[in-house]
Amino acid sequence: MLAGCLAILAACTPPPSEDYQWDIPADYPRPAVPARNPMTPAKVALGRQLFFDVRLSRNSNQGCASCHQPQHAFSEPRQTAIGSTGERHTRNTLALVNVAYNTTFMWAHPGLRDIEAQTLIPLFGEDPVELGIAGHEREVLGRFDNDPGYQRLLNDAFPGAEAFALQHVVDALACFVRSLVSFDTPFDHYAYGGQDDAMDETAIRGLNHFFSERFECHHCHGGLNFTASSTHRGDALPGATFHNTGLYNVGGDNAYPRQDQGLYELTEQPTDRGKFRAPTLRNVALTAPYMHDGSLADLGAVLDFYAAGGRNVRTGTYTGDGRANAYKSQFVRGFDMTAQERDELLAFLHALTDRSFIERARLRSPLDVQAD
Amino acid sequence: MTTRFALHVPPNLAETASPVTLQFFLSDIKMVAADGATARVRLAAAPPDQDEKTALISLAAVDEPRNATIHGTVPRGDYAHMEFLLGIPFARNHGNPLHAEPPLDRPAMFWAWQSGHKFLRLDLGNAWSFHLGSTGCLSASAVRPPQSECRRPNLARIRLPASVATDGQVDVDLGALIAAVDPMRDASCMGSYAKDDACRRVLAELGLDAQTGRCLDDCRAQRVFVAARG
Repeated sequence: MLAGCLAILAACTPPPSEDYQWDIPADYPRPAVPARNPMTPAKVALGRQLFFDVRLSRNSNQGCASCHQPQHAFSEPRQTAIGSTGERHTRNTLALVNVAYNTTFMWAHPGLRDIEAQTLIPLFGEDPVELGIAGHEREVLGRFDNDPGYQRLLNDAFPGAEAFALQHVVDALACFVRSLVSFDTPFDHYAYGGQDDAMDETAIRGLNHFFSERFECHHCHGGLNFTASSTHRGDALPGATFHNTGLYNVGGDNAYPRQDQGLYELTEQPTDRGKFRAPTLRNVALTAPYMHDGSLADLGAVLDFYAAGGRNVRTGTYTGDGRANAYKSQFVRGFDMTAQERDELLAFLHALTDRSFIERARLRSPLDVQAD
Repeated sequence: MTTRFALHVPPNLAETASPVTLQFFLSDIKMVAADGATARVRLAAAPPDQDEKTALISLAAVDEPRNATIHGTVPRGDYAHMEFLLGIPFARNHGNPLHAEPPLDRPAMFWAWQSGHKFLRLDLGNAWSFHLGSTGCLSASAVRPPQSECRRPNLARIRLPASVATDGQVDVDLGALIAAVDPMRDASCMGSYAKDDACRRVLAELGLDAQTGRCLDDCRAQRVFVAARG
């Protein structure tokens, strides 16, 4: 009896950080993790609790998961996000899938090098307000200091810490977000696993279209995570990350809607107008609507958009032919696509869905499921 | 042996199509004596940019080059030429990228199992790109390797004076490579090289026949890679 207890206790001791168990198949590369904030199960557990807790916003209306919903691969079905104070954002909520591998974050931000830095934006951003805790840090952190459950999680994650500091919140959230890895898809079993029957014929034909020069998809959505802004071995190619896809050409002036001109907002380089990051396509079937402003409702609309080589907005405030935007990526040239090829491409995109990712208990709210 | 590569960009191009980046693989490097006898150059194992068989050169017009040199050992002897394959031989070119070791592990230089690696990747900002690699590779799908060599290997064999192998410099002349191209107007060259007149001429500048995917006259007419005047 005693021996059994000891064995259980030993098994429960948090292993050192290098023993963190990623949900990544053995022959897949591990992501690079900042040395300052190594992964530990205890930090991931604390981060998970915080991620799903609405008390992380100043008015206790929203947590990270209010917009980054697990069943939608940590995105949301809304066109653009709404912050904790009700402010509508200009951008669609990005999915959180394999962001541990990202070289850049957000839709168009060249300067953020790690998730820790990115996390400050939803916590403190004032334009727009997301969680809205700027100036109210002590008030928000105090909520967790007074919660015995959080005190236990804090002590496990940061031994010796007596009270919550912002760095604990940021580091723990970053660890949880890094733990959101997804490689269990029919595509992975077919391509990397060599299982010929993991994808059906239709999806395989779609895969061949995807990787063909005719459709050009893989130029921006290539590599392990189907995005050029992802790496496991330091391979960021300058200029390959952000693209103008010809979504707008307001007034024929090569402009995007004034409220969001993409990379230009930060760089103020005219040629960066309308440039956004190509996001991962992993779990893309779960993350509708699409594009930075959620203006394309479904994947069929996205394929039609790229087949047309951009979008001609015919009426309204944003009238203009995006197909003729001077800053448009050379890879968005349009292509002929039969109805059958369209179905095949859709089947391929659905083969990038990882059901186990959205069902995995430890990636869901600790309030919904028993801790595992 | 140390050989350095230097990128030469026509001035008007550097202004209109920034940033200019060029990456290419070199394999099967050898020294050739006047009588035709060859000696293999052993590259040093120096990840992440080269292993014993292949090196990746990464140059840029404005930024510092990421890797401009190859290092190796040349057997003692009297040589007339140094030769290399611009790219990766078939046997190494179509592996599962999860198992690729440096320098073959760069996603930006890989298409898919079927078509293998990009041997050379030139990007003129957002305006125009040239991605060279094997074409006509037949396999069960894009993520299965071909069983036999691709119809158009597009592997140029570049021959230079032997002097470049001893602390020499090779100039890479972009002006020559894209002499026939108007980067602001022409479509990029990404694979169907033979279909496009400008792309055919880009391959010809490397000594390649776009129709067959093989060297014309041993690729001797190439004038993109030239020994720098000492």
